[in-house]
Amino acid sequence: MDADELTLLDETLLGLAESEREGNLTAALDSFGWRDVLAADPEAAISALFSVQGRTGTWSAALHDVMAADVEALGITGPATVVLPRPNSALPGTLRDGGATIGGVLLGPRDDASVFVVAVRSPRGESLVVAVEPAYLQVERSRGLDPGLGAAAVSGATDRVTVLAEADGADAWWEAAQVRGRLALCRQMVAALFVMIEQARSHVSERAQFGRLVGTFQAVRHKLVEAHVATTAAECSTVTAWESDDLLLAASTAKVVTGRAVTVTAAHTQQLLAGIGFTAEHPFHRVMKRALVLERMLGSATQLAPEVGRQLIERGEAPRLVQL
Amino acid sequence: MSGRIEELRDFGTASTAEFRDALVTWIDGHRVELEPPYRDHGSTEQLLSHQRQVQRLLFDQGWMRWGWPTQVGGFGGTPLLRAVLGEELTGRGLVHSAAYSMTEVLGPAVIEYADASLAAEVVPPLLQGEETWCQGFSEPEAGSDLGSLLTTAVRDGDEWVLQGQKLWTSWAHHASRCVVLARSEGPGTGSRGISAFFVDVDSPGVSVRPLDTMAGVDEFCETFFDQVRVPGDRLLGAQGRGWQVAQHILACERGPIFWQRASWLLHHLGEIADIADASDVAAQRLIGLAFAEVSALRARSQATQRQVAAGDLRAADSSIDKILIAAADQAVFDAARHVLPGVIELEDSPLADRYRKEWAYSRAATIYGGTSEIQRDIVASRLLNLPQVP
Repeated sequence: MDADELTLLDETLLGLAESEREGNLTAALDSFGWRDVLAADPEAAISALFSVQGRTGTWSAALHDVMAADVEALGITGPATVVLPRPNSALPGTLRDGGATIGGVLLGPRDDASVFVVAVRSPRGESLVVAVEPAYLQVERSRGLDPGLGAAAVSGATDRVTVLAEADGADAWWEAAQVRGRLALCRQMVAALFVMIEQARSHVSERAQFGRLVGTFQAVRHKLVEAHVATTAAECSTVTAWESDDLLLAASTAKVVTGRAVTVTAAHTQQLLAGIGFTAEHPFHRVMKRALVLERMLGSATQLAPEVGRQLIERGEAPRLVQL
Repeated sequence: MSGRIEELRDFGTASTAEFRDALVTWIDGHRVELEPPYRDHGSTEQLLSHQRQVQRLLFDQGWMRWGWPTQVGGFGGTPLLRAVLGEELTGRGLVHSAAYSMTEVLGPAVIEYADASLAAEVVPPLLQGEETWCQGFSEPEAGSDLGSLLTTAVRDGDEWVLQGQKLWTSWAHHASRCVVLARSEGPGTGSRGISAFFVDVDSPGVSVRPLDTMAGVDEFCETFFDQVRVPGDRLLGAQGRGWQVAQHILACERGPIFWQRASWLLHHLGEIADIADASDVAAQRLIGLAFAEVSALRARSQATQRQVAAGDLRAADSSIDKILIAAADQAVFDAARHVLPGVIELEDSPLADRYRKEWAYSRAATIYGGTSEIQRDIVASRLLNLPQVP
């Protein structure tokens, strides 16, 4: 996409989100044809939509669309829902004696899925991607920290699984899905963090204590700058990850940088918004809670940092993710 | 030019990738001449001597000339080529990042602000490694508060007379030139009353005293100016506009210097990743986090490099780069201290010497070139537009 097309896409999606504020964009995205944009240009589609979702506090089934973007490569033609791993798990299931034990998460998926796609591993460490019909699994909706996400737990044990990919093919498919999913989450978190920073900035620029604006105290200013710097680092890591020769490492690294930005920004902006930010009336808590939930998905910073380090130790080098 | 020239390809319109590919091939064929002759950190004399030798070779082979204007002995082309050259050298540990920075710290500002004839005379020896320059900014009473500096410059006919003391002048004891900031507009004129001068260090009245640091590297100096006479044509920029020159220099520092410094950090992180025990979970975490910090800095700096190369210097924006690089620098050497248990603290091997000095030097990363606190003040005021401090 060229610059004009990107601007148009951004404006269109923002228009959709603003008319559905606080709501779910799935239906609006379907009539717009977002999945066609995703198929044609994943980077542009993901970057634009998830930024908009972060800026406007909206959500949709798009994360599941992103995860399922190349599900045709597995021989699936109908609508499929890719199951997300639970926080702190690498995979949403294990395979034992020909049967699968599945324990994963959905975040606002479409209702039309005819099949669940699950990345699993056997006890011997073999990677597989399997298909399971919805009838063999339990889906239990939950409210959780952020009811607007439409979270649900998927679980069950069944031997009615169809193997879609094995070994290297399974790894490659799951890695590519995770890369797209992580970069989508990073985009949304970065945009949400800038909203939180602006809320705090606006508050400390208006609120006076001790006869002066709170934003004139250096302790306050530096906390806000730390949040801004961490979030800027996350934004740059996310934007440039797509150009890396090593997409999986770049996306994992962007997720670490963004996860740390979430921790720093959530703590500092909450502190600066002080009492008002702790009330349910102020919009801050909704933005923060969503960022915190998304941070845990597809690998938190706590989970991924040692994984990135392990890969570097295995390779015995620290690669350049971006070039000039 | 010497007869050692092998091939001078024209990279005037080449992409950075083409330049890099050709450069890497050349480096691989010249490892013997490029490798430092010491395995420990090296003394300041050794670092500078190796730096000069490498620079001479790079200049003769043309590599050092790409990205510099033709008026000062360069071949032209985008300054990004300079960043790539630095990256490939420091990324292999062939030159020391600090020593390699010298041309970039002051070269661009002298080209921008000196008379064209002065720049044409003095910059080529800098690029060839014949000269070392230093930066006379900080003073005992003017560190973060640079605008309150006390060194004076008084006009006397066609000359200026400088009087005062500078501190943290890196490499001054090996330098032949110094860019000095001095108060030319009288006391109490703040940042508006400062001019910049290009001073020969061998001028009568200049004396230099190296300062030992906790890193065990005698890079820094105290430099004294006692009635030093400087010709009028050595004024950089307009009289009273030295602050702009200083801002230009500080913004330029965040160009190719940061790119090669990040490469230097990745080189060390790769080295400790190679040494680390695969089952050491704490090492995995520290290396992963340090890698995330360096990679985030590079992601940020990539855009800054392009802006600097296009002459679009955004000093306030680059304060973010400075905050990130300082934190990344310390994260890498904190990880190293864990991965090399007791090596930095208890041993005297060449590896220990190298990492002890690099770790110690990294403690200053949040201090030199404008402290991280000053950078945060700049970001707060100029990027976040927080209310003015009373």
